[in-house]
Amino acid sequence: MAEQFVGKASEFKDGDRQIVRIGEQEIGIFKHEGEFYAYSNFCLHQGGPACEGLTIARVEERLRPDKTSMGLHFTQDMNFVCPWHGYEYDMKTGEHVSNRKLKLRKYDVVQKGNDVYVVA
Amino acid sequence: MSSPKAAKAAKSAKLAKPAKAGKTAAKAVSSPRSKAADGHVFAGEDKVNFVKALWEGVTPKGAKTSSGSKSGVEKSKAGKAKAEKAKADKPKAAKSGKAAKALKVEILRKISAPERVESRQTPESDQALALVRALEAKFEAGELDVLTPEATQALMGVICRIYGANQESGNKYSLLAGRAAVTGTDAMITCSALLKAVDLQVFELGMWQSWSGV
Repeated sequence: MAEQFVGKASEFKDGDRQIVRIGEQEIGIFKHEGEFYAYSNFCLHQGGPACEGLTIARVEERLRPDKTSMGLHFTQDMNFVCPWHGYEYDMKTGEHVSNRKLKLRKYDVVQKGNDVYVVA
Repeated sequence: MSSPKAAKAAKSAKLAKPAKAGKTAAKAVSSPRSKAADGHVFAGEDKVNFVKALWEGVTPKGAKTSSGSKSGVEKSKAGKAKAEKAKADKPKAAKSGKAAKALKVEILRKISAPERVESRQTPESDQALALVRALEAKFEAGELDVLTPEATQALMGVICRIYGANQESGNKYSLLAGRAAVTGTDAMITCSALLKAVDLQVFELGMWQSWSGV
């Protein structure tokens, strides 16, 4: 495992993504709320490009005390969705939102000055 | 009475027969043989090689091969040897390739964040946002009749006209914000009702979309 240079931090705006190939691995690097996150770009479902789909806030359904619905609402947590079949992953952990046992491979991201490295 | 010579011959024949039969049976188990129409006898190993040759593919006629005019079985044996050689060479190649690839970082795609609309703030926008907040609070409290049908129609009408005019003048933006709590069902109900209100069919919408490229 070595640090691989993937780009300049100044080139990433908040919400930007970059897909890189390091050796035989394809990795998606996200900048979200000032932090970098890197995950394997192979969806756990059928190997789709997991990091290239929509980024969307988590939707939750709020219930009244009698368990009737108050409608769907967006939370502050951000997810990303595989464009092939809609597998949705937590931006901060890489876990599948409805089955936390499923988790995308996470790579450490190291920022040295303006340089961004992925440990892969 | 039989002669001792004849008795000896009979004994040797008795002993020899079962031994021979046992030997053939053992041979048949270890290497089953079958006879071809031309009398050629195929051993089990030949069959395995034949199946492997079929699996690996047949060299086209006229193609130069290192095996020359070898038989199918010999060809398959040569192919097997070649495959083994390639297999032996593979770890070395993989090792050196891995070392080279580990350093190679290839940027495949850059995906930018969705652009945010920079807009001029107007007093009407502020009033509209305040109204939306008040409506949402009442709606979430379960007050479905927070707007009368007339008020809903008036609001929807003016929103349609303002949004349509902006799109046509080139000021394009998404109709809903990224985190709007509008579900797909809400959108489909509203779209269907809008089309019905202006007497349009989904077919016409599809035609218009394909012609206009929207």
